[in-house]
This record gives sequence, structure tokens and C-alpha cells, in this order.
Amino acid sequence: MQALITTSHWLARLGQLVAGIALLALMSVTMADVLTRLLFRLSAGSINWSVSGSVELVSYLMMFALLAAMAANIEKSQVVVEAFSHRLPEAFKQRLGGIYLIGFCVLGVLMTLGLWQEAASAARRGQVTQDLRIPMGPIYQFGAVLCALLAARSLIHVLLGSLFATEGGGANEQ
Amino acid sequence: MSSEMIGGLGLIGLLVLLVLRVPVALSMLIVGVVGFAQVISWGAAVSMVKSVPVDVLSSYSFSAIPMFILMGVLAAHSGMAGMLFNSTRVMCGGWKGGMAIATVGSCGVFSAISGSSLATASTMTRVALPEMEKHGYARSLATGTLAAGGTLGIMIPPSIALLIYAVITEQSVGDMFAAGLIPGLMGLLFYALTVTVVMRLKPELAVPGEPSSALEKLKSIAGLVPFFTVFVIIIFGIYQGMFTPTEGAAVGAFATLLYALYKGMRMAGLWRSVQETLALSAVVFFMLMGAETLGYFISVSRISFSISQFLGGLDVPTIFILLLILLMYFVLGMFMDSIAMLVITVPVVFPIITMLGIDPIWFGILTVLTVELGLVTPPVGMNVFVIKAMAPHVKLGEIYRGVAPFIVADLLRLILLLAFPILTLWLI
Amino acid sequence: TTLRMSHFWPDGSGINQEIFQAWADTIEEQSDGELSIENYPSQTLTQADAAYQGVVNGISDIAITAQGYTAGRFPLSQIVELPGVSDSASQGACILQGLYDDGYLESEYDDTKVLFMFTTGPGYLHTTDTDIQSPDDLSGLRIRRPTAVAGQMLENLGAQPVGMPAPDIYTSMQRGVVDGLSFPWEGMKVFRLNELASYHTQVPFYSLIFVATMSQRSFDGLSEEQQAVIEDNMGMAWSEIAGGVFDGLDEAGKAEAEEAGHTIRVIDNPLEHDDWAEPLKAGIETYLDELEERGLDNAREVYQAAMDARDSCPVQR
Ligand code: NA
Ligand code: NA
Repeated sequence: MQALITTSHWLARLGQLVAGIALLALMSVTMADVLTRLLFRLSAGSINWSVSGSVELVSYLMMFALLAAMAANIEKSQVVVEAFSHRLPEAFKQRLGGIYLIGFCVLGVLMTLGLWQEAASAARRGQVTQDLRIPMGPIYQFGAVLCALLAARSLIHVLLGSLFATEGGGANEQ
Repeated sequence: MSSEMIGGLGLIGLLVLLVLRVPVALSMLIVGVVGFAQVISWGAAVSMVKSVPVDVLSSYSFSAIPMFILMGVLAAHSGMAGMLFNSTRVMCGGWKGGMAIATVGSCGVFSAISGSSLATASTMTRVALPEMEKHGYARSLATGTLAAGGTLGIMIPPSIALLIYAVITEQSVGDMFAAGLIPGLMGLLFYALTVTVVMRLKPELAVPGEPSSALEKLKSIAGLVPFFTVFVIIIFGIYQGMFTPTEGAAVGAFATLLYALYKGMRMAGLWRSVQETLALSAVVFFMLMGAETLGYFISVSRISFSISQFLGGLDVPTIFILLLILLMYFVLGMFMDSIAMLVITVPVVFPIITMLGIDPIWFGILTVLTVELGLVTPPVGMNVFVIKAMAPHVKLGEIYRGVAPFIVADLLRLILLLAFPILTLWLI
Repeated sequence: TTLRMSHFWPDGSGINQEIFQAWADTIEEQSDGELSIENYPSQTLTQADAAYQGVVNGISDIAITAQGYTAGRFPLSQIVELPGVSDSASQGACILQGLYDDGYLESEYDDTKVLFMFTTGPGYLHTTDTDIQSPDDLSGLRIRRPTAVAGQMLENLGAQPVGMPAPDIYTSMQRGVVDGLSFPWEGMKVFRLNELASYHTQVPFYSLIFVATMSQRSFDGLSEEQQAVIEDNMGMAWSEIAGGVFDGLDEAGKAEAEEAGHTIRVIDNPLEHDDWAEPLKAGIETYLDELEERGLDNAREVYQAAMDARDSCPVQR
């Protein structure tokens, strides 16, 4: 059990690192875009430092940030409805929560497969982003890795929750 | 089995899963995927799961949500939010429910900026909820106010929902926004009145503040300065055309970050705020992914399409059909995302409206108001979910209980708008 | 048999009614009701940029989408988007479908069964309060760019291209985040932008291209008679119908601006015009060079074929 907790902890740290950098980059890209546009306007068009492509950069950075954040926080991010279950013992809720996390493990696996296939097809077809013409293949591949992280951490917490009644996501009840 | 029947069974299945304590996001995902598979095929359903979540997570217009959450978190950690509410508390003095009314007002201003209900609910919850709790407000009242306040974003221009309605039905966007102004401001007023009425009926939900002198009130204005500076930067920037509302979220977060750094926040503190933002965003986006998947299932089940067609064929007075259509929106709104609902049903319903000679702009406002109710009605109420994400210690049931009086207020507003079309059409 | 058809145009739009629903009705009629088409407008089945892949993956049986939504996936087809290739939607549809029929583009669609292709009319310049008479007038303006290639050309002209999703244009223009945009007349009407722009310069920056395509698997699953009905309704005939519908919408969009008393400048023969030719040609060259760098050695051949087809494809029919 301790090995599982340690592994989960380090995978979470990894996800947090990726997500944090992506989120700050997302904010910085938008700020850079807004500021260079302002400069362009104030100089009546003579200073043009802006680069197009902030829309797509923001989209993909957000995808990375959220996928990584979901992976890092999977056992803490579920909202449940406590209509009839509030009297259940805590340990039972943890086991139940852990079992339901299987759903996210499956989701993570399917998303990994989906993105991996997209990556292969994008690489084969030479698909690029609209503005900056960045190859889509590596973008999807990185996304697939983050989805795999989501699947892996879900699986660990399925085990922790269902077998040891701890960190199964059940504590986050309403 | 007809696809409509599968649709109906799916929605019942959703309720069962929720009762069984399956996470809300997962319940919507399961029903969406299994239902989609029944209507179309398992292969198609698996393809959908592979692509839809990724589409949601990389949707540019959603990028405002994590940025506004970051802004709220930084405002809380830098003391900006605390100062704001301290000031409003002093200004309200001994007035009961004053902070709840201040919250409604702030939600109105904020939604006018962001154009997004989810962003409004998430930011304002982070800022206002801890302060209201600290000052003895019942959780149900506090979160109910926030959930309702968040819906103001749909009607007060600029509004994504009104824009979409105008484009679908080929109305002037300018007219549509103008028409939304009075009903939107009515919403503000009605919510404030709701707080007052609730205070009368259930005084135990809030403790009155300490009375304060005029001088104290004057002095307290200083506490408003940082927060309103950020507000003004965002409003001014958007109305001056320096950035779009979506970009405004990042600008707001950045401005708040500068303030936090000035107040002594260091790298470690910033990183903690970023991680807190990400954890909150994860909760929200898990549910958005679920809602989107469920939406595709409802779309292919053609439930809304069939209902609209059925209503169009009825031989009853005009006002009756109009009421039935609004009732349909109310019921669908319990399960569906507002924008998806507009996109699917308005094209079907609109020809009926035109045929009956109902004013299209008036109908648009009535529709959007009804659809907006869906954000706070159980079982799928995105605004309520967002607040739950921001405040895990509050029970979902408490939020739904707290929001109930505001739903009554919205129904009253709807009746007034129905009875007096001039309220909508005056400014056009 | 029921076939699911997915696209991003709204249900009530002329494009949906007069092209896609008309096609669906024709199929149902000619198959004596054996085939029925379920129409999913407004991205209610698949998102615009995932629509083509949705057909490949079996989410929908038929999809209509813009090739440009998946950039770099249909590079040769997008040659028809270059300015100066077509002067109207009819001409564009005829050129694009012609290139496909002649086998120039087949390799890009080998995973689906193409039904027909079409284009918008040329995307012109529309500004809120600057009268654009020569390229110099564009300097210092922020223009919403429709495609990366058009963005490149705007930059060559001294403007600042700004990328944003189409639904954001209205409010951005209202508040001056952008000073103008490049759009076909049809889009000006559909997105209500004639409310905001009062100057229009008819110099082409791009045309958007579209494909209606069907899943090969779904097609193979049909009976021979049903397949015959589909095959009777493929290719040039429907490209022409689509072109005609877009032409009509372009006319309506322009009429709206004329009625509102807007200023409309018309640049004839932009590729030979003293002021406009140079930046436009530079943009075209950049795009073709890029394709050649990617190993598409026949890029210039396809471009030449497109330009040659202008003679046999009338601007108005
Ligand atoms: Na708004
Ligand atoms: Na609801």
C-alpha cells in the first residue's frame, strides 16, 4: 500500500509540474498578445512585434494544463450527490469511490488511444496548426502521455480505495 | 425501441446513477456514451469518448474559466478579496443580508464583463463565500446567492447565449443585446429583493453586522480600491477594444498577480495558487466533459426535436403553445447545457413562433431566461456544480435549497416579461 | 437505412435548407424512401474541426465541413483557396470539383467517399471606418484573418492579422478589438456584420473550400440500388447547385450593404493590379513554396490546372 501511495504522490507531482507551467504559459501568451497589440495601436502601426497564433497556443496549452491537472487531482475532483448515502460508513464510501474511479481509468485509456491514433494520422497526413504551423503529431502525442498519466493515477486510486479504503475519492463527498 | 424512448430511459438512468453515489461527471459520461451507443453504435460511441473530452479541454472560449479562477484564487491569497468584503460589511453596517446583496451586485458587474455564467460563479464564489461564511451567513443562502448571481451573465450584455440566438434566428445582435438589458437589470433587482424577503422570512440565515458610523463607512472605501482597479482595467480594456472578454480573463488574472506580488507573494505562494487553480479547474472541466457528452446523446436521441415538433402541431391558443415551449425549455434545462439546448431546439421551434406571429426578439429573451434557469435546477445545474467545486465542504443539497427562492424570483420575472412585452422591446 | 449527416451550419440557414436538406430529400425520394437522411446541423453530432474524422471513425455517415479546419490535412485542395483562383462561388465550386474529378486531389480523400465539393465566394475586405482604396490604407489596421495564408498576405500589406473564432467577431468589431475582417459577402449577412462595417473593398484574400463526404464503410453497407442512388447524386451537378446557392447569398449580402448606403470599392483583376498584385502574389508563392518543401512536387501543377480551369468554369451561370 505504501508503495502505491508513494508512486501516486510522485506521479501527481509530475502532473502538477506540467499543469502549472502550462497554465502560467497560457496567461503569458495572452498577455504578450494583448500588450504587443496595444503597442501596435499606440504606435499607429509602426511597431509590429505581434505574432499571430495566440488562439491556438492558448487552446493547446489549456489542453495540457487541464489534462495534467485532472491526472494530478483525480482522487480529489469528483462531486457526488449525497441523496441517500450520507449515513454510510466512511470506509464503505472510500471503497465505493475507488470502484467508481475505474470509469476514469477506462476514460483515460480510451483518450490515450484516441490521441495516439490522432497523432499517428496527423503525422502521416502532415497536419499542422492553423497559424504557427506546428506539427499536430507531437501535440497529440504529448496529450496522449498525459491521458496515460490520468489512467495510471486512476488505477492506483482504484486499488487504494477498493482494497485499502483510503484515498478512493470517496472522502470528497458533498 | 425508438431513439426518443432511449433518450427518456437515459435520463432516468442518470438519476439512478446519481443516487448510487456515482460521481456526477462520470454519471453524465456513462449515460452519454451508453445512450449514444444504443442510438447509433458502440463503435461510434467509443470514437466519441476518444475525441469529445479532448475537444472540450482545448476549446478556446473555455480558456476564460481557468483564468478567472486564477484571478479569484490570487485575489483571495493577496488579501484583496478580504479587504473588499470587509469594506462592504462596514458599509452595510447593521443591515441584514447586506453582504448577500453586495454579492448579487458584484455578480451582475462581473457577468457583464465576462459574458460567462460559469466564470462569474467560480470567481465570485472564491471571493465572496469565505467572507459570508465568516460573518455568519448560512451556507445555503450564501451559495444560493452565488449560483443565482452567476446566471445574470446570460442576460446582461454581452452574452454568448443572446448572440447565438440572434445568429440562429437572423435577428440583429445589437437589438438582441439591447432587449436583454432591462430583463437583465430586473434580474439584479429581483435577486436583491429575494435576499431581503428571505431575510424577513428566515432571519436566522444571517446575523446582522455591527453598526458603523458614517466616518467608518467613508474610510472603508479604501478597501474597495484594489479590487475595483482590476475590475476597471478589465471593463475599460474590453470597452476600449484593447482585448476580448476571453482575453480579459487572463488580463484580470495578471493584474491580480501583480497586486499579489506587490503585497509580498513569493514564488512558493504563486505556485500554491496555481495548483489550487488547477485543482478547482479539474473539478469544473470533469463536469463540462460529462455535460458535453450527455449533450451529444440528447442530440441524437432527438427528444427535444420531437417535443418541439409535437408542440408545433397542436391546435390550441398561441399563448398556450408559448407556455408549453417555455415549459419544455425548463424541463430540458434540468439535464442539458444551455447553449446546446438553444442550438438544437431554436431552429425547430422558431418557425412555429414566426407562424404564430410572436415577436422573435421577445421570444428570444423569454427563451434565454428559461434556459438560464437550467444552470441552477437539479439534477444537472452547471452553476451549482461549479460552486460545489469551489467549496467542497458545502453539500449539493444545501446549494439547491439556497437557490430555490431565486428560481421563484426568476419565474416571477418571466411572468412579468410575458405580461409586459414592452419591458423587452422598449430599448430596441 | 438511415444515414446520419453532420455539419456546422444552422438548421434555418439557406445553405442547410437549399443544399444539404435538398440533397437529403432527393436521396429519400429517388430511393423510394429506402434511404433516409437524418440531418444534424450546428455541430450537434460532431464539431466542425472533427467532422471529417467523425466520418472516418463512424460517428456520422456523412459530413460536410471545411478542409481548412484541419490545417495541413488537405494542402493541395486548399490551393483553390488562394486569391485570384475564383471570382465567385459557382466558379470556385466548378474548379474544385473539376480538379477532384481529374484526379489531382484524390490522394487526400482516400479514407472516405467524396460526394461533392464547393467553395464560398471570394473573401473581401470589410472595415468599420477606414476606406481602403489602396494597400497603404491597410497599414496600422487590425484585421481578423480567416486563414493562415490570408493572414500572411495581410501582414505583407502592413496590417496586423488577428485570429479569433467566428462567433467572437461581432463583439470584437463592435468594440474595436479589430478594425475589420476578410469575409465573403455571404458571411457578412449571416454573422450580421453589415451592421458594423460600412466600408467594403472587393479585393479577394481567400475563398473557403468545403467537402461533403461519406463513410466508405457506410456506403459499402448499402444495397446496389441504394448505392446507385447515392452515385447518381455525386459530383459536379451538386457542386453547381451549392455554388448557385452561395452566389445568391453573396448577392444578398452585398445588396444589404448597398441598401445601407455603405461605400463599396471594386478592384478588377487584382492579380494584375498595380498596387494589389504584388502582396497577393507573394502570398501565393509562399504557400506553393511551402507545399513543395513538404514534398508535394506537383503543387504548382495543381495551381496551374486550377487557373486554367477558370476559362471553362463561368463566373455566373
Ligand atoms: Na453577460
Ligand atoms: Na439544470
